[in-house]
Amino acid sequence: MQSGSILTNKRICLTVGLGGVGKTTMAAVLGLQAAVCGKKALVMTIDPAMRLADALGLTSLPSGKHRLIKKSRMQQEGIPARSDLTVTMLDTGRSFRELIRREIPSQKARNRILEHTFFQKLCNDLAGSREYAAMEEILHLDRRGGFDLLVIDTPPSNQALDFLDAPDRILDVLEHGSYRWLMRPALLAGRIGLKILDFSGGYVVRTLTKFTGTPFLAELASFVDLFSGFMEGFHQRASAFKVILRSFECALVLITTPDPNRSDETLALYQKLCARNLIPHTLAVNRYTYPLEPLPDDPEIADQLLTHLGHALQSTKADAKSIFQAMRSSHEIINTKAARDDTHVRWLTGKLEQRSQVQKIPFFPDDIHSLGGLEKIRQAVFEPGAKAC
Amino acid sequence: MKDFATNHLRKHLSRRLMIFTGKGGVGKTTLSAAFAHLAGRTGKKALFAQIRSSKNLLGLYGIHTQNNGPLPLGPNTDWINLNPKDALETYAMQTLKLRSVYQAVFEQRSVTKFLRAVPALGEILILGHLVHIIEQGRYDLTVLDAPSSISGSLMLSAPRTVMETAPDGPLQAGARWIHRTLSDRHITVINLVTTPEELPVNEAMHLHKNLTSKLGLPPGMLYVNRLIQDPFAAFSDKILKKAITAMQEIEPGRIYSHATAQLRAHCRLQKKYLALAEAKIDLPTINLPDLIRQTNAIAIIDELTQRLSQHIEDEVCNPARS
Repeated sequence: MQSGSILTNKRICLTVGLGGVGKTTMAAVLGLQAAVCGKKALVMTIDPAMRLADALGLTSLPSGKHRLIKKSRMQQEGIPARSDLTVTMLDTGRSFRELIRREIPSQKARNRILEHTFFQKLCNDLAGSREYAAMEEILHLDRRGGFDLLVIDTPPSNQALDFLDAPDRILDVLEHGSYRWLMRPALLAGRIGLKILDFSGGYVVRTLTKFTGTPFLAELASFVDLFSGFMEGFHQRASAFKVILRSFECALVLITTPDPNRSDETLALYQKLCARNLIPHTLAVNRYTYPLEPLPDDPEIADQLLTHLGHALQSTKADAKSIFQAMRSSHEIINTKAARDDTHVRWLTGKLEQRSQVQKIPFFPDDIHSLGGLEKIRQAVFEPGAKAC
Repeated sequence: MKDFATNHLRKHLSRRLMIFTGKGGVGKTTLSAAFAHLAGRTGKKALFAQIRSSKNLLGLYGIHTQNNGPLPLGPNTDWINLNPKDALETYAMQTLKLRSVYQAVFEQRSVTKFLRAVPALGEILILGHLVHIIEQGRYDLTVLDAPSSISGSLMLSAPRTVMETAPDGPLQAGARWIHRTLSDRHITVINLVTTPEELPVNEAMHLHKNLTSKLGLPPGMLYVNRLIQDPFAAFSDKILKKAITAMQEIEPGRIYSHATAQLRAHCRLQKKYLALAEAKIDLPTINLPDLIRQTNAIAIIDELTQRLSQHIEDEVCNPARS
């Protein structure tokens, strides 16, 4: 099938979508497919939950560490892997520390940053900081090389947008220079210990301190001050990341499920992505129930089947009629779901840009959170077009 | 068991803040909307609060607006979309009193950019707005559709994080004020929502531990949503296997066998995770069906409201049972 091309000529692949649609699973499946194609891939999840570990059936995956899944291990599970697969989970604190070590050449300046209380807060997985750390981490891995493909599992929708907007947010702050003039009075106050309102331009800062308190602002200001002189590097990387996200070598896979509650929100997300010129390469509809063949509507055939079932169950004293009825209703339940899924997928796909492909991933009524289970999905998605990679 | 859970349900409806959290896609939004409507029906003034939502819920009701509310959603029920910008304005106006001062400071591009870069400030502002609404007393009950798991637990733990890390000052005091309300069991109750599937149940377990044990927020109930009705519950495995084999023997019977095998696998799986959830999450549980025949979210919310109200009315009509 076409979506083999999700990975063709790609260096980075991002799975995005609302919570619980199967982003991590899809990221893992893309990683497996890369391994099957003989590509060295790294799958990284940004979410601090142990989701990737869950999805890959790994009992523990220390955050920030890379774990290698050997091709022999995958082959044992029936996956025709030709390369090893690396999986990892972003560790915000570790990424920030390594970033500082790479970017700040002076030992003294480095230590002042690493020991700053505000830095500790940034490392604490505070909302917003992991999105930025993820950006830096991806850029670092991409520049360092060593992998043919990076698969990034982003956090759910709103946070995914935070993540995709991270470079803009940094650029905004840096380009505007707002931090400088905002911070100057606070900086002076922090250093000399005087009240902020004694300084010129302090009106805004004075009002801000009503919210944050003077010590907080002074702390933040002294932290920002530690970076003065290094801002150019941050600026360059944020710009570079923005370009990479929109390049041909980066594929965005938007994942959804066919629930009635989901289609509106997924479309809204799709449109927000397009508005940012981040047009999803593929819309993957996960857990899609395919319809079964219809039951024969001839009452005579039904009677024959019931008679046959009655004979087969004769020795069991079971009521063949009620079992037959239950079998009928199982068919009805599945096809009702299938019809509902079809309606929602049609509605959604009718509203997409032509450039986005649609890929249905069947619902598996059993455990898929193991290598073997992931392989089932990989086959369903990629097997018909395995040559495409 | 059902009566036990029903008692809790009634108690929770008399609190001031019901929070629903759980993994994404388990139906938190529809369930919390149903609770807001339920409260509205019983004569309470209810507020359904979403956080930074793309306003999809209101859109479902045919209301398309840039307004973040509060806007009427139904009888006695309002809707609000909590977001950092409105929260900041509400808070700033309270402190500064003068709109001109607010505009002079907070509507400056550099200030808004700067504030966006302050970690956890958005979360604190949103929760602060929520607590402010509760204290204002315009609503008897606020139902919060909290963001899914991770961001949800980050959001709900933001006051604690700030309490532990921010120096003394308004931010610290604000965090304390929010945490007091969130952790008061006479005011707040945290409910978990899951579906009978592996990852949602794992996350519900994780959230239960984090929110109640670590953060000390008052635990409520576990809602297991989207249970497929099992048409084979009354039959033994042995008989079903026989039936499946028998039907495979003749051509059109094959479709019956196929459907049976597929749905049975699904039901077995859901039974396994339902049992896991009940064993590992020590909370009263209410099971809710997968409303597969309903094709739009409003119909689902209506039916859930109906079912939940039956839960309560049963109790009122048959007090002898409890």
